[in-house]
Amino acid sequence: MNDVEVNKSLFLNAHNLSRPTIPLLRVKGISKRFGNVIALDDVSLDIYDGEIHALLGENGAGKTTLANILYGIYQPDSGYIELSGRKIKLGTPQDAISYGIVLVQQYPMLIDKMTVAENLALSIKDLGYLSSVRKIYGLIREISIKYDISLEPEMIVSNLSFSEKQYVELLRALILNAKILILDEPTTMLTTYERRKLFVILRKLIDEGRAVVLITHKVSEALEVSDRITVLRRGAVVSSRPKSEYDYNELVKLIMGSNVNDVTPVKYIHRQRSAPPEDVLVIKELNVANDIGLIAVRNVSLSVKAGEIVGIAGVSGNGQKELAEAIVGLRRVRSGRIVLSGVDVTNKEPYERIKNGLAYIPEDRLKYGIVGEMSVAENFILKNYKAFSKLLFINMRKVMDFASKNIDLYHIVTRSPLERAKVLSGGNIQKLIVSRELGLNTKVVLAHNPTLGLDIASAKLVHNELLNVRDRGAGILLISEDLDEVIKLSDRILVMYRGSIVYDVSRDKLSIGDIEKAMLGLLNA
Amino acid sequence: MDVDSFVIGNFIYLTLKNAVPLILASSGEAVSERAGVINLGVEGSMLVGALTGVITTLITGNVWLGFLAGGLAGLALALLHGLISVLFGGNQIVSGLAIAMIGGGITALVGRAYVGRSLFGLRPPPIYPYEVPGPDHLKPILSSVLKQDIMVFISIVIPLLITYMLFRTKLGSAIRACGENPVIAESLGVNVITTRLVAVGLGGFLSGLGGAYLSLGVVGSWVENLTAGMGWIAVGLVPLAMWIPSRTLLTSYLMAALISTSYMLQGRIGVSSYFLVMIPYITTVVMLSIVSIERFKVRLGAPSALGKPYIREERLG
Repeated sequence: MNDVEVNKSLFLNAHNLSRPTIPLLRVKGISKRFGNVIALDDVSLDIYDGEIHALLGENGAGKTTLANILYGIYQPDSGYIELSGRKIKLGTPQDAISYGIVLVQQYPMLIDKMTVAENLALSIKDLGYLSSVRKIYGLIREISIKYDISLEPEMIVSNLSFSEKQYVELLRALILNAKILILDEPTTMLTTYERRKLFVILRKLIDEGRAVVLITHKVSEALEVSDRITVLRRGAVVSSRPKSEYDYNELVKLIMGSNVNDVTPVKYIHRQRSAPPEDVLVIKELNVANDIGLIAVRNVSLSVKAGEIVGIAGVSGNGQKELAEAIVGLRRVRSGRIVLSGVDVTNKEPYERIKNGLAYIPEDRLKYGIVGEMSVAENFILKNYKAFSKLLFINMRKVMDFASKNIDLYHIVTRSPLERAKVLSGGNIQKLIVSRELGLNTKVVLAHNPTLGLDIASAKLVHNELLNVRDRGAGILLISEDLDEVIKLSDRILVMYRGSIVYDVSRDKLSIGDIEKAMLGLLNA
Repeated sequence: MDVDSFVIGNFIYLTLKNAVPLILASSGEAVSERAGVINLGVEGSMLVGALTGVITTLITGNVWLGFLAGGLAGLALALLHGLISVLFGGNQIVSGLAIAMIGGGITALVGRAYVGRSLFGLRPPPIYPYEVPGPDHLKPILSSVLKQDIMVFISIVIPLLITYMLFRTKLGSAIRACGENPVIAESLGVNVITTRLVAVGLGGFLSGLGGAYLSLGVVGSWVENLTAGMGWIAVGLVPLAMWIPSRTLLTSYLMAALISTSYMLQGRIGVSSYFLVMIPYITTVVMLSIVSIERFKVRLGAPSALGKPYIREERLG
């Protein structure tokens, strides 16, 4: 399907809403607490067949909790759910599936080493344990063709792109005969093109009389694709109306409530420099292998100057992870060189790189950004604990003061500096990491998907900090799957495709169309 | 030493026979490890299977019942491992070692009354009970194959069937999913606990069967610690076979050839027989060290969740 067709079908389906009398799914007065935290407070909403219903809200607004209740993962403390006017009990995901409610997870939950068909076979109750998986090949092909999904049953999942993995999840929902599909932030990792294609599929689904619940924190997305929008804030429904009754600014206000001042946009000022500053990070003809020994980074050369942000755009899985790990020192380099502020650090320990002023904001924050079992305060000083130590001892009072100061400065929500870091929310963990990494004597910052899954306010803070540290003279290499982010922040934009840099443009000459083509490997270099 | 057709025939005969317990035990262990459960208790299951096989055959007078009982005994012991490591989420290594020791201990105790009891006339019969045809100088080689019992051939079919099961059926997908990522497997609708127990049980049954073949088919009687480390070698062969049951045929025949060679060389060359007996074990250690290197492991296709217990999480609230 080409771009034009995609656009056309989106416009054609801008529905005129004539409300049916009985909603397909009615949520009535649902409340849910976790300990002292109220996750959902008397939430009621109606979901109609033939509609895409956007569930809009910031991180922590209760969207995912609600989805988990609808999918039978959590039980509500009070309230009830009706399907076509009949009360139902959703004790387990199996119950939900039997009622035709299927959750499509934010990150596809699939076994990478197995084929599409093998993954799907596991969910099909009617398929006997000793029957051949080949029996469902026909079914998979049939559904794929119907929804214009280019998947073959014998494809190995690890070779699929993120959006293709998402299609596998969609296929699963369709094979399970879902009447209500709940999609949790499905577009986080998609390019514009892939996102449009997904929306076309969703349109097809509702045209068949299904209902789609789209969980998102992006206002523009809710306005682009949905028929009805329910806004959640701090666990409560603040508004639930057809899309046509909203405009962008109103939705932003509804989402943010009293925090509305936090969304004044970041001023992305791109400075003109007179004298060319020195390169702080130089990568020369770098080749890096992935976990199974195949070359994932191919002859990559690039340089980052002091006071410059270089953005690498690209669809996930095109070697970004391996490149980032090679720069930080978590992965060996096959050939090529990495030079940090004039010091060759190729295949040196990560410690050597930190010493030379490298800061790292990792993609997987829980795994590489913090030590979850240690306290927030301890996590603040992981990299410069020596500054807080005398001989063998760490001065905990000094650490606590430092931590408290940073917690206030970055508005990190935690009960105490002694709280285990892993219990913080994703946004707060990222603030912790950013404040630790950018506070040091930073010359080069490697930021990998720094705002992935963050709400507007946290993402804005991260962007601000990156711009601040750039203005202080650090060079930043920003690797991100969020093209908007790359375009907003970068002075120079590169595109990575199948391990190579296939496109390189300075910000004053950029063309978004060309970048997107390059990301999909469609640009003839 | 002169190599003539008699020596060659003897070598083939010994190799085919010695490989049977290795094939059965290591293809069974491959299934268990594919489900994410490493079972170091193979040696124990083999010993229990060997002794149970002897006792059952002596009592019933039927060697096939002996094989069946041996397999079931191995299964029972493996399920103890499953109980500890799968159901209770215990450490697989500790539990497996314990199972291996229990197997050794029980069989030493119970087997005392059966040491040296002859199974004369109760051995599995050869598939070709007649005079072997053909020219004299080829007869030893032909009979090294034709005079084998049917278990030798069954042991070739079993890994092929298991490989089909593992890579073509839904059950196989479920087993591999449990070994790759049990959390995702569960979310896709697999009952991880049951599936892992089935895989461990199947592995135990085949180990027990392999043990029973060692006592009933190879040695022909019971002695304490009859397996003498066969179970450990079988565990070592699994990574070499890249966790693919059909490949355990290849690795097992190679190892059995090595074992037969070390038997046949004893007393014929000027090397201590103790050293010769060590060769298969040393080979296993060396090969295991090589395949344990992380980089190789990933490339060989080691199940990602191998050795990791799966505990169903109690949800918040």
